[in-house]
Amino acid sequence: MSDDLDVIQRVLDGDLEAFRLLVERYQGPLCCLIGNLIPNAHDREDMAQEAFLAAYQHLASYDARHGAFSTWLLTIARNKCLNARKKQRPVVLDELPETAEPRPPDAELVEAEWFQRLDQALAALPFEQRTAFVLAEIQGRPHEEIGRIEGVPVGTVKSRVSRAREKLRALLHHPAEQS
Amino acid sequence: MPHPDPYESWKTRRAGLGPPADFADRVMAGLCRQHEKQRQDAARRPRLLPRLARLAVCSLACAACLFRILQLVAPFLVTRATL
Repeated sequence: MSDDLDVIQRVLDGDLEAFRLLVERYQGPLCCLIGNLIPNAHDREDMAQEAFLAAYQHLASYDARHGAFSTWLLTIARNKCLNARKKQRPVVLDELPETAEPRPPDAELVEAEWFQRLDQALAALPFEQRTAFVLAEIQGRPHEEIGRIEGVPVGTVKSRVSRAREKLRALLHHPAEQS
Repeated sequence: MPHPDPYESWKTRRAGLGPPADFADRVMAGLCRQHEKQRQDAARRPRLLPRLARLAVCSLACAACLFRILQLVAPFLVTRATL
């Protein structure tokens, strides 16, 4: 984290190229989050670039006492996705894809078809649950950090993650993990 | 060999969503464009101040002239009104 602070100070002192270090360091997690929240592939890259540009513009307002730079950056990205979602027309699909009947994981269903169903189920989740699920289950971030990103208590994060996991697991009718 | 859990396989696949190869270059290019635009805007701003100052001085000078003219003409207007 102190390395991030050194780079941030260099950028604030006028070394624009130093910002590249931050981009290269955090482009992975940021693009992963946006990639899992924005369905349109073309919009994802624009959104990711906008998030970094917004971070640069507001870099002076970053306060290390409130959390890591990655947390601050992901908060910007998450808010960008939320604003973009509000501008879009409501998505008709707010129901999970139907499961015809319970199918055990070792059924003859092709893996790609399972992936597609899970992708659809992820896209159908409410935004808050989807964000919490992506940050916790896909990126493996601690609940405390997710709470700071989303601006909600840890208990709310756990509840959102749990509900999202149950909905997705229900597609496979796999015994849900008890956590 | 245990059958891979499709749910875990799917999560691993979603976790692999990453940036394109030249993403950092594109971000920096956008940043440079924005930085250049801000620099040009900042450079343009000082040229306005001398113009505004000149405009203010000219306006004051015109107002002073008008006042002086009225001062000179006023006695004649009063005399004419009295007659």
